[in-house]
Amino acid sequence: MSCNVLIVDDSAILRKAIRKVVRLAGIEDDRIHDAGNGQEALQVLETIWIDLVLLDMNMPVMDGEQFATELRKNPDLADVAIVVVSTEANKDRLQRMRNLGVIDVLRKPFEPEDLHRLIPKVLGVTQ
Amino acid sequence: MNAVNTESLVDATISALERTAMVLAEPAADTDGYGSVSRYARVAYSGPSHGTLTLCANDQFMCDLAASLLGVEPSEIDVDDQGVDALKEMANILGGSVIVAISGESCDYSLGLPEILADAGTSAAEEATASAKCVVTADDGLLQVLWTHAA
Repeated sequence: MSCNVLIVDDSAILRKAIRKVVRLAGIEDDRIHDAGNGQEALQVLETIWIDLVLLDMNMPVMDGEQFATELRKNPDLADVAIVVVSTEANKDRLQRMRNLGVIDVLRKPFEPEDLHRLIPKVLGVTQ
Repeated sequence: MNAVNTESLVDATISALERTAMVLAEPAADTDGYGSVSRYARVAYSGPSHGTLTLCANDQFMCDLAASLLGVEPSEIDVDDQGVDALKEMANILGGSVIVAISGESCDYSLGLPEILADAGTSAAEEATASAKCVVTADDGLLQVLWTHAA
């Protein structure tokens, strides 16, 4: 698949583990990007077109909700697909994320197969 | 609020380890024979009530967990870097499981950021006051989970 995926998570080891699954889902390694928080993710989005953001919620510096809010303010990036991949369970916060156009929520702990199945489904929706 | 007990804490821990990293753990009665735990990760939650979840692990557990996450051999793991990161992430994931267990799917709790504790003193104090605790093992790896809940 010739799509760019951005993994945003403050855990370096989880970014690597997710990258492995994204690769297995058919995304070439040089099309997989990562960031340790929302601020770093916005910097990546300034330079590279991203089709799908896999977004953690609880991160230092800029969390997932702040990131999504900033992203939607930019008309050029307002349609970027976002899937939340997080332990986040707070119903009010998840509703706010859905209001920001989040496509799906994959709650940790998840099996790699859950993410593997989700990626082509989501990219199919956005292509 | 739903209660979390030793049994549900064991179930949540084993499920999180298996689903996230394919680490197959089993409950243990105590920590005897596994050496002492060496690292401590904690995550706090808040909402209608508040509390913490603290994970105490030996080096072997952290190496095995990190290796499974990365798909490499445990001998390739730097326990101070990847091992500690894996333990922090597991505290985050288990913390998420606990707040869902407490409040159900319509959750009104929020999780903080996981942190590594500098020494064993804090976790020893938490063990004494824990609302529920459990021990699981995976080969030579040892993980103790302490849940402390305040109204």
